[in-house]
Amino acid sequence: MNNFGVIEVAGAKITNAPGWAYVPDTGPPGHHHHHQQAGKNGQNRKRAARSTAGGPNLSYADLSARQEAKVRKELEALDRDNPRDVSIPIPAKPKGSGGGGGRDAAAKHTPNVRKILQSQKTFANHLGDWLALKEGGAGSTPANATPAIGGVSSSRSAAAAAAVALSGRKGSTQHKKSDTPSRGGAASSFTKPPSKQEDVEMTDAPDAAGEHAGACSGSTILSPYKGPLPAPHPRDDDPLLVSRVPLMPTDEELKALLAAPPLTYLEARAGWGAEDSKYPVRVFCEVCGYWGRVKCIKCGTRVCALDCLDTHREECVTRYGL
Amino acid sequence: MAPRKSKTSRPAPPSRTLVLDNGAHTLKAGYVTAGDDDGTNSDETPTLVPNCIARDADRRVYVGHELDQCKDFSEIAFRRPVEKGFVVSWEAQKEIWDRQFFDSGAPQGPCDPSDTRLVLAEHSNALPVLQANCDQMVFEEYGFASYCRANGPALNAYHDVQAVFRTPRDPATVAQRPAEVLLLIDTGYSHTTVTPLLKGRPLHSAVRRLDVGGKLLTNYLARLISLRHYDMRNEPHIVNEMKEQACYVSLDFSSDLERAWKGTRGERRPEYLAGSGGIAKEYVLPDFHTRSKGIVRDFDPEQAGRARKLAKLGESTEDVLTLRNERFTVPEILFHPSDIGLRQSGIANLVWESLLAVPTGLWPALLANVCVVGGNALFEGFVQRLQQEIVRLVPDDCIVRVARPADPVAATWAGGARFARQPESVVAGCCVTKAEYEEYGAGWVARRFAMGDGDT
Repeated sequence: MNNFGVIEVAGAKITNAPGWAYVPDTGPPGHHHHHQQAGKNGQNRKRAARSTAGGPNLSYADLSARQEAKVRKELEALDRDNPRDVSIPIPAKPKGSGGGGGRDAAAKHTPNVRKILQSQKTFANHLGDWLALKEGGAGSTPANATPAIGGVSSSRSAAAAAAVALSGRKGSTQHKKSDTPSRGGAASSFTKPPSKQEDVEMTDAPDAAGEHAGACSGSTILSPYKGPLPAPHPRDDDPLLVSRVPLMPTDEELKALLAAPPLTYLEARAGWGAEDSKYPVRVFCEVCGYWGRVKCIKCGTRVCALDCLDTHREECVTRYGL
Repeated sequence: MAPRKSKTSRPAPPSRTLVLDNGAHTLKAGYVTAGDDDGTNSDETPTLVPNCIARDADRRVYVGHELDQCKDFSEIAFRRPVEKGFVVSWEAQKEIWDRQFFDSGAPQGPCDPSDTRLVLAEHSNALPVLQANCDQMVFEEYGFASYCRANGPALNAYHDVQAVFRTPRDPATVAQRPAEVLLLIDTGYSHTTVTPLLKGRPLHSAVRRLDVGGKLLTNYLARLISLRHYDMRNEPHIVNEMKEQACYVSLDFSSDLERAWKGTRGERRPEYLAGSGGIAKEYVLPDFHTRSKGIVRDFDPEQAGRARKLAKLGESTEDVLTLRNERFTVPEILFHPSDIGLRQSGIANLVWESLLAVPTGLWPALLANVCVVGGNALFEGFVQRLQQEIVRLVPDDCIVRVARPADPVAATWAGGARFARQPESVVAGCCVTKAEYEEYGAGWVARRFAMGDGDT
């Protein structure tokens, strides 16, 4: 049989054999292990029955997966401009208002512009393209459309580390910097090696930028405080009352910080930090918005009290059956 | 090939500057003439244009500023060229720009790009492709003489920041532009970003973004209302107005939530019936015949009872819905995105994450200068709540000051206008001319902005 090199490992079909069976694992990745355990213990028949029956007899794993999917779907819906898909074509120009500024005819677009105007890509498409490009062509030189920003694939932590903890290299880079003060403040010590040979062109940049940057950063980036000081107090020297002021970063640190390349779109996205996981996630009643104190046994939806539970039951029954 | 111009004989600078903050919801634009004195035009405001193509229930289409002519916003649908803060659909964006700036019927007269400089505010962390598209459109399609794709948050450093914070100072002090240190929070339609700025230059490694913006809040409010009152999912415009008029940021979330609670069993708590101490508000929906805008009014239990009777008889002239905890649970998402299952830090933690990426020595200065711009900053209580939450997170020794400029929506534009009025040598240093674009190409321009936009 010619199967074009594709070998079926496990089908979605459930084979009821005495003792054990393959079942499609529909649970989330986190519950995978749990499934295997259950299979070994020989509770497979029950499991198979459950997953074929669907609907009301859902296992815990299915429940949380379903809730996860629900949350994801709801977040996607919240991100939309319109509740339904609408396509609004560009309307024709009203008569007599067309064409100021010498760009009247549509035929005059340059090829680049035509390509941009005809593009139907969404932001998600562009993001996907960019991710694919970054993964695929990490080593190769960036194309014209993906200038240095794309090439500099610095991870967030690396950039931060480079900016904050600047140690051994600063002597040499600083020296180079003082040799060429007109290079522009931002283009200083922390340009990545891959873009270096392209950077040679940067010296051709108009000098206005360089001069300005040089004048602005100067010897010290931050000017010292010159305003009035508070009146002295007799207990200023009291070690218990003395306030601890953190050391100001050095000029080199600040320059490195200012020169750090922009993070990529995904790197700049806020994560779920240690500070957030300190407190449990708050849950709310899906009917009235009060604290979600009670959980519906059937679908896991949180509600606040019996009133709202009754309201929810009606919906739950119509959606999932008794 | 023409001989390259030497730096001394640069062409004369364009006579005026178009400052453009191309927001996802509203486009803020205005012309600035370089020589203007700072003092005289300080109160100037940009033109606010809805950055969308809209189609109403009668299938009439409005582009940009034409939306003002729309009388009936029920079931209106929008097409927005800006997605996630970045121009994605240039087809639509070009149409809106054309009608706003370049056609002979443009509201402020047609603009001649060959004698105009464009200062375009963009968000941090853009995709390189979208930046390149933007540059190409500006030069190849419009042909602006000079162009600066500036970092939007960074432009805010050109305000008189200390006046925003009401710092006590000698009245003769000249405002420092750009401000030395600023922690800028931009909470707009698409997302919320935190950007520490030093001398008007963003510290890129510490820029953080939360994917919660005005759009998400509007959609969330629409969902809540659809669950509890009428189906409003097809009325983004009405819901957005409702959000702007009625929502507020709670300074004590759990106690407000308690007060707005109806009670356990069939009977209602007396406080709930009395309007939960001012939390409950009635919102009169617009019908677009006698009323084109919704009205917020205080909840009056007796009147509410009467209105319900009238509504039962079918004699009611107005559609009213009572807003209770929706008023503060919606903006609360900015502070607790996990409330809707979004696994991201809230604004205060976003600030904290950003601070962790800069040296501790800068913390006191940054925390004493936290400035909030963008439409969400208009929520009542937003600034106080943010201050409250930041104080809770940071070391006790740091003084935390959070403020918002008088007009947070136009703040980035106004900062851009200030920037455009800086001496020509400063502004030209951040710009790219058309000749340079033609000579060095799009890649060079992109690199130039990636590095040089720190100069702003």
